[in-house]
Amino acid sequence: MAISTGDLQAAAERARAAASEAGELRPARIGKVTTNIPEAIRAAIREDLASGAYQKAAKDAVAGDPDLAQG
Amino acid sequence: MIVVDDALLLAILAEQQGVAEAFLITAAEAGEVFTTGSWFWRLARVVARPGQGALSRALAASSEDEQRRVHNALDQLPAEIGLLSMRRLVPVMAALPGQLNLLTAEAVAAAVVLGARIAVSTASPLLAAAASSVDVGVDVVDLGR
Repeated sequence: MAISTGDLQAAAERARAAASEAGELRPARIGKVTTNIPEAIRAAIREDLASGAYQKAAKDAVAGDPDLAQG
Repeated sequence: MIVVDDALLLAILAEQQGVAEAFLITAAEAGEVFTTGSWFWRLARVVARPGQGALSRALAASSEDEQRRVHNALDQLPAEIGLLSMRRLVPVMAALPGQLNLLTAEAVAAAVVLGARIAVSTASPLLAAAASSVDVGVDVVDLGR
């Protein structure tokens, strides 16, 4: 059975209403994200993100798991 | 509202300072950033696996206390980052057109429910096509600028 746009809209509206009622359409807390990661580690993360090393590590980490592939 | 992938989530958690990261951090401070369980899980798998990158080398050179602090910081999603549950998303995922994997279906469904755009660090044809089919915008963010 094919899924129609109307089915998607109806499902989205139900999900939105339920999430709204539960207060889930916004994060639980609003404000600055602070994780206290040491500067040396932040610099290493910066290097990995800019060089593509993180993205390669993520691809390797989920290799063999097609549900987590970002292809 | 923006739904971010694992790399952009990592950039926010590590408080990165480039132009693109500053935009994401400002959005997160305003309560405008969500991620998905699949992307959070991808990040957790990378952090749990020793690899070849600078992060792995820096962690190996850190004290046990620092390593624990970093793992705690990256393992626990801050309350300032939104995450919709599968209870809400699965019916929407099931109504999406096409054959999608879990990561793509969850991201597109979250964006549909939130009325959000999706932001990723690398282009993904599968995600772009799935998002486009339901009029969800996808932005590729160039990190490190």
